[in-house]
Amino acid sequence: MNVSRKNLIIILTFSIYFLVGIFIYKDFGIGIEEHFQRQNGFYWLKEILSFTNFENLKELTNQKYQNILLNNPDLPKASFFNFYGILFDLPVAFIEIIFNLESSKIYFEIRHVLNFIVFFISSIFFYKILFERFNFTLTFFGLLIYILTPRIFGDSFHNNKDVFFLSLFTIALYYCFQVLKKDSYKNIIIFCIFAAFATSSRIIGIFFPFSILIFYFFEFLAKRKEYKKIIIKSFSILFFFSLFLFLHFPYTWTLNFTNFLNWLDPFFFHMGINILFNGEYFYMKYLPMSYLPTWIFITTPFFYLFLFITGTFFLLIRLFKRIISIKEISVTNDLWRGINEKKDIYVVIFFLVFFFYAVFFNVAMVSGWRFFYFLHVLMVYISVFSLHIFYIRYFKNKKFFFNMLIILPIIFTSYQIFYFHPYQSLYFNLLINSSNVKNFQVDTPSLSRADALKNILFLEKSKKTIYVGNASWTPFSNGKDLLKIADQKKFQFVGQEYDKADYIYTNFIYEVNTEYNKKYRISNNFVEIEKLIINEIPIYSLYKRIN
Amino acid sequence: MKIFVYKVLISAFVIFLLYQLTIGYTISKFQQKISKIANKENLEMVKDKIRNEMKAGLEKDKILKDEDAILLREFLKKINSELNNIK
Repeated sequence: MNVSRKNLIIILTFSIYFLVGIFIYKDFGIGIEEHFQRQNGFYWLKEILSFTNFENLKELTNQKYQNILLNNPDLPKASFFNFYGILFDLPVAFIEIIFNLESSKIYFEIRHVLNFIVFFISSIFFYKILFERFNFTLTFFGLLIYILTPRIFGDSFHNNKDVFFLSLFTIALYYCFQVLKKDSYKNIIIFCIFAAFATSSRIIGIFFPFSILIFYFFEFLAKRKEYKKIIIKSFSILFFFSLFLFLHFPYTWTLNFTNFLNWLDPFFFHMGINILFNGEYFYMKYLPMSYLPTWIFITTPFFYLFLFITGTFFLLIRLFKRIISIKEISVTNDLWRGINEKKDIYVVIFFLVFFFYAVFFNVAMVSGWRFFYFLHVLMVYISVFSLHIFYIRYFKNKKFFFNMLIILPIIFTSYQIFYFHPYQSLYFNLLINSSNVKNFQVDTPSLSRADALKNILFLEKSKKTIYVGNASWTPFSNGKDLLKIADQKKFQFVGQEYDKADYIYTNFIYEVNTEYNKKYRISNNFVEIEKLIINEIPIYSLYKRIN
Repeated sequence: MKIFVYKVLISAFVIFLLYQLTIGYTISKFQQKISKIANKENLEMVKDKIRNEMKAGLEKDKILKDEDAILLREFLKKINSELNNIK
């Protein structure tokens, strides 16, 4: 394939992907954390403006912030959880103020489109990561897997936290690979900027500078680098990383020497709730070790899983071979030969580090594995490595057959993305069906609440006031923010006071075992009038009072 | 020296893995059980079970076996007499 044809394919792919995103971003519901994140944006804007003399802006921002607190009394307070949001929430709050956006529908849609654009940019960086390592065909397939993984696709619109972090993680990974290739000061500085950005979006990004130091250590062991040079570069990385982190991360400004040692503690705060997993309720802090592997296993398309598992196997076998052939004196590095292998080793080692960390250290998780969505980029890289091995070993002379073998499952996955729309974030693979789906929580991002309200409006066109109850733990009332203001005013939310409700909504997410706790039990004078089921996965139900 | 460092690293990793898969796993299971026993739903479940057992008992013609009934009667008598005799 000639260069211009390759370029055309890539430009076309990115253009189609971008257009699809722009075309559908309005279809998604509000994610469970978006109201908090909006509050967070205004909190930071208020804080930043307090250093300036823009009195008018200060007044507007304060007004908006107070309105958010007034309309969402149940939200956690941004003044307490004040560590994230400086890179996404703050600029979006600024846009809301500058363009005087009054419609809640519009400002949530703007969040969605911006989150999508950031993820889109990250996909370009991921393409560059793959292109520097693999041939064009594999790079192209890897890009498709990266953007066409159902849960990531759906979350790339409304999950402004985990997918935003995944995007920054991918960009930082690209620059990390540049440093692994050539640790010039230019590369180090750019890498440190993005590593700092990733860290201020999720604290786990702090691993980036240390990962480079670990690789310096391996190079030192192999005597491939002078120790003086390693020390200077290590200090440079730590210095620039700390500097950029300090410059843009207000949480670091609040630290003093007494709380410096436990400055990571607030990031590991967890809600004391119970989570349904595999048919049993577990306290969030004491989830089984199988929590993360199971969620990855049931929410990733089979084909991607197959590639990922075989890729990990191939990489570990090669690492094992390298380890057993280490000699006291050698002319090459011990664990890798050349930059490509170095990147492969980096990806598999740090995937396993994160994976074991999640499995063995009682990491509080909720909503499936969304806190670990940043692993997606490492998983896709490993999957492409698997394709690379299969291609070299078995398909080198059967290119057409190989391409068909890869493209068909990707087309099938694309169809499923289309089929689940706009609930791709609630995708399960074929392991989950009507008989076992009750063992897992589905609509944890509470995406269906706005749709449910729209349906009630459709059924009650003439009614002036509609009383609605919520038989779920996730918030319901603020789903109205995707409705027109006139429609929003029609609703009165009564929570679990079902005797006052005309309708009851449930997305089947409970923080208590409903077999013993009757908090969410719907009485017999309500009848189910609607149940949204996609591919045997129940999303939500609506009940109507009959007497 | 280099080989020694790698051996230490690999041994540490293997020991960590073995620890987590044996002792760590047991501790984790234990923590889960404790957290389950202590939670509110579990207490509700125990209360429900007692209620159900009592209801089931009321529906039976006879709750106790004859020998248990005699034993219980004598036991209650003894308790009663001790309570009455206390100054």
